[in-house]
Amino acid sequence: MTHNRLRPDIAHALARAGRARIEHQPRPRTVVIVGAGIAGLRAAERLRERGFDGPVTFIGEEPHKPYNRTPLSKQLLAQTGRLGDLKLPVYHALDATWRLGTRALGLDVVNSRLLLARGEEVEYDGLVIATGVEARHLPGAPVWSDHVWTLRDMADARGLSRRLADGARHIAVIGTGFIGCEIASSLRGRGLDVTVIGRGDSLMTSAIGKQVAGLMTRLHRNHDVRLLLGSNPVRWATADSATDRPRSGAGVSIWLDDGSRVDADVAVVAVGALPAVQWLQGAGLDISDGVLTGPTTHAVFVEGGSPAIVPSVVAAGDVARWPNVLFDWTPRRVEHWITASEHGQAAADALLLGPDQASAFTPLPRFWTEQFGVRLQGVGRPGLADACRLAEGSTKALEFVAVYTRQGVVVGAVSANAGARLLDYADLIGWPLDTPPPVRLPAPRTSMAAV
Amino acid sequence: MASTVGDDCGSYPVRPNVWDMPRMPPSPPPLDPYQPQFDVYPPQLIAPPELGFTVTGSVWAPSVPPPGSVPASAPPPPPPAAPPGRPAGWPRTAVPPGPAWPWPPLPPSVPPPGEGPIPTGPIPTGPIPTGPIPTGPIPSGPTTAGPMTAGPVPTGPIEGGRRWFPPPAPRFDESHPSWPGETIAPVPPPTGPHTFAGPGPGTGPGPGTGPRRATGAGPASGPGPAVRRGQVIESPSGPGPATGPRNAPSGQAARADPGRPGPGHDLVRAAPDTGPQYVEPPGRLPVPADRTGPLATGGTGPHPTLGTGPLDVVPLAHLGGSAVGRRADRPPFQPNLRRRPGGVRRRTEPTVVSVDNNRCHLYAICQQEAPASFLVASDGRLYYDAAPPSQQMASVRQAARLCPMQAIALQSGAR
Repeated sequence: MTHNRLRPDIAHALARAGRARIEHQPRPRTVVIVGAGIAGLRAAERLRERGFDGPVTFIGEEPHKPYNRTPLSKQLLAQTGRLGDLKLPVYHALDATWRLGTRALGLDVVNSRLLLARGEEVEYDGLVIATGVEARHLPGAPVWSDHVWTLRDMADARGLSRRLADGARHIAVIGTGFIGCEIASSLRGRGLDVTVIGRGDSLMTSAIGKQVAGLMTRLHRNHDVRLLLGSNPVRWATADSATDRPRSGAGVSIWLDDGSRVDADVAVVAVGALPAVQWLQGAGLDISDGVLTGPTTHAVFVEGGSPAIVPSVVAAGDVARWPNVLFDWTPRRVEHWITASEHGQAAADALLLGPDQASAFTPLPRFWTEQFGVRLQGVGRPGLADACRLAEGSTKALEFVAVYTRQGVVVGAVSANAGARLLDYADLIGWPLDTPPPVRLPAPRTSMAAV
Repeated sequence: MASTVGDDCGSYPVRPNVWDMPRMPPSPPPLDPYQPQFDVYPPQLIAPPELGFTVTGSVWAPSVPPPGSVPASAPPPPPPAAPPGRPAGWPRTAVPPGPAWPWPPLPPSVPPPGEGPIPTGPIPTGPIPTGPIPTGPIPSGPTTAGPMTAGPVPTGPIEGGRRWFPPPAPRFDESHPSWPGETIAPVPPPTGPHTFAGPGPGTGPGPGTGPRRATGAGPASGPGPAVRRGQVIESPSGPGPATGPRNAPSGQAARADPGRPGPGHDLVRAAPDTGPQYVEPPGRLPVPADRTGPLATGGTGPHPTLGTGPLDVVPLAHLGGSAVGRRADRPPFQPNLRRRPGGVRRRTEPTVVSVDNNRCHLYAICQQEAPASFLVASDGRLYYDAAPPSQQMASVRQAARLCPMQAIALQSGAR
């Protein structure tokens, strides 16, 4: 056998040339992703898919890499899933630096620096703000107590499960949103007594409209969920409190504004979420109800004179407030998991293309929930609608599609146990419901993955 | 392929700094006395002698001049120790000598009919075919065996006790696409006195009207004299019917699988008068269930859509193509002739998509993302393409990302 190695002098010459090349090549662009959630993960994956080879750094507050939060209130709480269900698939090598357990403390947009703990500064060429939202707390609720929980991340789910395994029989859920209803459904599936306390007169009204919400309220009531709607908690007493302890020996006692009292072992506060933008105070960005961005997900710098687009900062996920020009030009936040995934991908594209070349991010919001075996899913913005019609199916059999219109124009659709039928109505969004759309439909929205 | 985020953490192996490591010159390998030694020098540094110079100097200075310029006065290398079985002093790169001259006469490759030696082996005991005996005049010409050509007799000079052979002819490869397989009539197998060869259904104009042509002059036969492998078959009855397509499926099959017999041998559908022992092959071969689905209407399996009878089992994978992803509205499979059967394989194997039935809750997000690969039908079931074509993989990946129940799993063969 022969050796195909180069002569040592040739090898050293090549090594010198390579070293010189490495020294004199320009510094690679750095992308820092604040927030190790689904939006940040998809942004990093899209960056790598697009051929970005510079360093990518994640700044994540949780000690975990991105995981799937959606089973936390469904399968994990109902004990039908396992911890392995939280894994997220990644189809590209990320090659990222993970700085987990690290909280970003500030942002210097002008100098492109990110402030971390202990005065550490991280320089970036592109920044993706994907810090998401934090669970909202009720004023006056003893959130420090071991009997009062929220459900947002894995630590919350773990603590709540541990508390439930400690012999809890009766759980009070405050809040009638998606999370609260899913918690009620999952815990009823485990045979626990559930009381739902909420302000409105039906469940999930703001998301799916009062007609479908009435059906879901009846569904919960049929499954022996005790509904205390139209009431607010005004006073709390917990067993581990120093001053206010429940006299009945329960874990937590909640007095409502109608004078009644609810005694439960554990209370779960699920009253929505607030965007995690505390660390952006003073950065010059518009952080009222999330980071305001343009249609291309580039952040808006409002300090000083007129607002300006920052080409190096994009925001994605639940924390971003952007105008979805598919509906109107009002910037809104969307807290849907699918939209967050697509938002991260679009933010990565926008970061690589710049605000001039990037296209507007106009997703079709899609959401789903499953409660008591009813697969409820929606598309569009049913919350914007002023009318709701039953398009097909039967509400008695809980297998139907409802179409939501705003001034006669379809803005959303919600289906129960009819996922495939919903797709036809998703194509109607943006068109008037009564008059048939023109024969020549516009080209369907190209998925960003197909570009 | 579908790596999990939590998998790539851990300690990375530290690569040594190979550039700063002292390099030792490679030690000369031990010389095998029975191996040719001309490859110890890079061949690109040895200039051909017609250039008139040799590459020497600081770049490379071969201590031994290239072969061919060895002076006659150089002392020959000491003969290595001969292993048992080799005569001492024999060149180390040579093969053992053959039999001495004169050589025994070569046996004829194809004995003429009726003149070959009677085989001494056991008489074949298989069932004697009971088809109708041909009643035409027995052909008298040399039909199946032309003039015996035993190849050129080696008459090269004898050098050092060895006969110099001409370089061997390039290897005949009829699976090469340059071989005009369709235009040349195939040759029947040699027929001995104990071999029955009845007229095939594809025989010429009439039974026994001329010299026996090749059986199966079907669509694979074309005009021109029947020449193949040095044998000549007279065909005075004119060219055969050249009605077959240019790329007949039977010809493709013969190209795809050299082990498969030629198109004229047994691939012709036998006439029903062959006798009661003829077994009708099944018209439709069973299609694997996993390749069947409503997405692929028409040809659903790996078999070609056109009915070729027994040829339905053509392994398309040998042609480098994939049968998955074909649709009814697309043209059927076209073999790529540039892709040799024995060539390099595809770089990436098609990704296999699987959906966990226990997880899937039919939210139909996958159909929204990849409508070409997923379908939630009206019967409440999800049909999907288990091996989507590569142009659909981006949307399939997006469907797997956005699946609410994370029920879609992608597995790639080589990546």
